[in-house]
Amino acid sequence: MRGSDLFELYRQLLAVIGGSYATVRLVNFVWRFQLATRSAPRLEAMARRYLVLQVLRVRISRFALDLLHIALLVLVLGWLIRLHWH
Amino acid sequence: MSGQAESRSQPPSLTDLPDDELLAYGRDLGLDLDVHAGRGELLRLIRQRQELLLELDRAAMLDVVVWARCPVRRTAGKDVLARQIAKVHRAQFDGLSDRGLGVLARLRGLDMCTGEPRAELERRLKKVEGFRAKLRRARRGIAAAVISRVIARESSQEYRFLPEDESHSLREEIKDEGVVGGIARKIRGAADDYVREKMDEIETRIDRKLDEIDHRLGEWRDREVANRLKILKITLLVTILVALVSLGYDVVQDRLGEQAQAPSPGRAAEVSAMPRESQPSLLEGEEPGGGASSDVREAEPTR
Repeated sequence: MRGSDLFELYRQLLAVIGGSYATVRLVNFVWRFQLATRSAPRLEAMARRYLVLQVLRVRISRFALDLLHIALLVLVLGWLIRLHWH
Repeated sequence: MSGQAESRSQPPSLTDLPDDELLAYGRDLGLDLDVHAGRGELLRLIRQRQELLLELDRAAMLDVVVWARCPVRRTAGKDVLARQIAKVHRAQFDGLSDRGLGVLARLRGLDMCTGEPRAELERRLKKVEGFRAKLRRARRGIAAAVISRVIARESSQEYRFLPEDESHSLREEIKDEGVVGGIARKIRGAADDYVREKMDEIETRIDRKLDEIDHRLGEWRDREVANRLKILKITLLVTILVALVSLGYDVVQDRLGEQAQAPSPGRAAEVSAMPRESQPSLLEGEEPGGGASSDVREAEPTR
């Protein structure tokens, strides 16, 4: 880390704004989906609940290899970021 | 009616069935079939299972069903029994008769040797189960122990078959309701039976189609998740590449900065050739002829 500079400020601002935006959008989507399911006609409500069920039925073990790759890549990225800071 | 019943109980002609019906029929016989298996392979496996069912003793199959406490009627056919037995995944065979154990082994795809001791057969049955299945069983065993302790207790009631589908004879109907009423009731009963059977068939087909739709949706969902994960991986790879380039840039920048701050070798030689008194104060304490350039670098303030 080479002290505070303009790029560092930009990076931190980007992380804060991007993270907040993603979180708010996600919560908003879940909330709206829930509201729409409550007020929807019976068949639509069933279809919406079925979609949620499909998502919950995803088997993590089927994607174990991909998730392992992603974990390794994240570790490598973390290590590289750490090298930047020293 | 008996002719109709016979024609209904006859197994369908396998070669005429479409692939999905063939798959469903094979599963009805208790086979664990692969969706992507070829038609020829499906036909072979189903015929093999049909021959096996002909060979198996029905009483022995009933032993297995009673042992596993599957809900069936006493008069259930071999295909129904085979379907129920295929759902049994137990690996502890206490209480199962020898002939039942033999049937279970054959339905799980083991070849039977004459005079094989029971212990050996049990060992082979346990061995045929994969490592993952064993792990799954252990996990479920722990969960079952906890849940049964909290919620339910083991029931030791004797097994009972499902009640049979009994219908009154025409004689009894006429006795109860007179000639016209009895005959009308019998005909209505026959029509009801027919309609009920057809409705059951339709319901079964609809269930099967719904299962198929669910299966396809599940496949589509898995493909979608796999694609998203692939995109995530690519993004991470590109980020790592950019981080590497950035790190290389930093290293090169540091090296260039160090070189720019270090005096050139000509300048260092010039300094060492000067009389000791006139050398810059920076070089004080340096031994004569002792590698001026390296000492100059050492004397430099570090970044």
